[in-house]
Amino acid sequence: MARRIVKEPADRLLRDDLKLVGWVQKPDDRRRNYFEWCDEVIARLAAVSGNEGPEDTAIVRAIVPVLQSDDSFTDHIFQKKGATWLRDKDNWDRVREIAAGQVLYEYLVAKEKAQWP
Amino acid sequence: MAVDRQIKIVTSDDLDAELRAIVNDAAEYGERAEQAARDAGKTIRRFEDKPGDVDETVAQLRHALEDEIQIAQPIEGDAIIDVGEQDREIAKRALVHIKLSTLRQIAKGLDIPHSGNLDAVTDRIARKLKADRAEIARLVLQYETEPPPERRFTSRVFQLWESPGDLDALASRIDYVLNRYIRIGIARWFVLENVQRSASSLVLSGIFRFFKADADQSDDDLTLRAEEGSASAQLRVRGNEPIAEVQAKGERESKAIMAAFEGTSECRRREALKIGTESMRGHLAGWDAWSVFLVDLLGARFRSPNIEILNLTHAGFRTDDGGSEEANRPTIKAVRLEGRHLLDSRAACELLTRGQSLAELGMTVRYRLAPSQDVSLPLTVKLSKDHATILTGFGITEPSNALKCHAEVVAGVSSSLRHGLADEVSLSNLAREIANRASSDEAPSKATIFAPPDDDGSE
Repeated sequence: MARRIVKEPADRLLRDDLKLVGWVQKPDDRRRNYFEWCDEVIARLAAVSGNEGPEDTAIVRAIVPVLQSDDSFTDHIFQKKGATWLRDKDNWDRVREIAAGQVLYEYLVAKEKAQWP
Repeated sequence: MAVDRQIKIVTSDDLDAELRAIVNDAAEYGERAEQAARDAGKTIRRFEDKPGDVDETVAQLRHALEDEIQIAQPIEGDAIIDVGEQDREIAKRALVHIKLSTLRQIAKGLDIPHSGNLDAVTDRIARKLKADRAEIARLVLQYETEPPPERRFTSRVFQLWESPGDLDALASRIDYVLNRYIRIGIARWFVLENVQRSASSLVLSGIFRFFKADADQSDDDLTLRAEEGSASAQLRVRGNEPIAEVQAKGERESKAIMAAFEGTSECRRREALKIGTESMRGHLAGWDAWSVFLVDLLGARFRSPNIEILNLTHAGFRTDDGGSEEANRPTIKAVRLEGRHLLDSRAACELLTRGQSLAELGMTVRYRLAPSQDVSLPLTVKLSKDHATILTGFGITEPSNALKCHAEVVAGVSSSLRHGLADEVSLSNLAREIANRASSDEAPSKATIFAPPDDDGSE
């Protein structure tokens, strides 16, 4: 069973509130794009650290800039929470990290079930 | 890039170049993901000025990798270490004075992840507070459970065989040797400096002086190396009480002033504490005398109406291995429990009911200075063979406020050492609850035996 990435109960609540599981799981080209990045960045971080399996924290951090530039993600959050909530920078940081954690989890599950690549 | 995979050392320049490339490539993947969503028929708003730039993202990624690789940073002028990193590490070093379980609570309060080891949790707190020295210092003073000697009051209470009686006569005897020193051990002296007489007590003060000495060899010369040390101490006795209260940082100077006092008076300390708990019955029948003494003090809140126990943070038990002298038999001489509300834990209740000796209790107390003014203070009470020790930290209040609480706890401990138990009925009820907890199969979800008081809104 794939390891849990989003561990804090409060983060899991926010993840559910924002329906991030469904957003990540939707099998489309966007999801394929995220999973391809996971393949690539895990290999690159392994080369940097010398560890075959880089720490989850580092992989999550490397997925965050993908979400940063993907306005389909930002639009999803905007629809759920509105402009006022997104005015707080801490909310952006937190939600991107939670979403990146969920992307990694779904990627690991897909690998485990031989659904990816 | 110049990465040595064997020892995982990489220069910060090479690492940042690679991480910057990763972040830029990630941004391209993000744009592609967005386009894929558009191609699938999604209508997507454009968002300008989204927070998060490349530098910040690279810094966060570098931080995430710090546990996996050694990053060799360039020397930063005279300071050598990067000032930001140095400030953060200093803040973390100070936070280490707080127990990890408490640090996790602090992290929760700051709305940041609280999982991981000590390094990870202190790092997150230091970063969240931007290594602000005043803010970090406030946390340390507020939450440290065992402050160092310079941030606490320390008293030791010794039992005497008899009350000193006539304090005027005692003052005269001490006055006779005032401003003189007496030898109390090998290379150890006590200098009697002052004696003060009040209506009900007599206070003796002085300096403990000592030398550490050892042989020293340099080239062909043999010599002795001597290192001098000194520490002050103060001792208070009352005419009709067989008790001596010593205020000093360390045990050595405390015992030194006791030796000087015994040498100049007819008073003698008891070699072993005499605790009036011999006739315990019911649930207390199997308890060790020290456990009875400390749990009674705790239940009676040190005989003070101004003290409430907020949280029991550590407990030390001396264990009894049956007195076996077999050299090969494994033995445990002490057990230390740490946590929150720990006398409510089944482990602690089992040790108490099995007759193990509770020798130390650490806690956070709330002390009422005035009807609407409370302060939280770390407090530890320990029992040793011939004395009880009370340590009261300053917390984040004025030391003079902590001293008031300290004096009341010392008075409560002294009173119990003179008169016996403070509240036998409450103690008996506590013992019953502790016995039930010890035999319960379920771990408690909240503290009920030594439950923290309801918050009444003050401070």
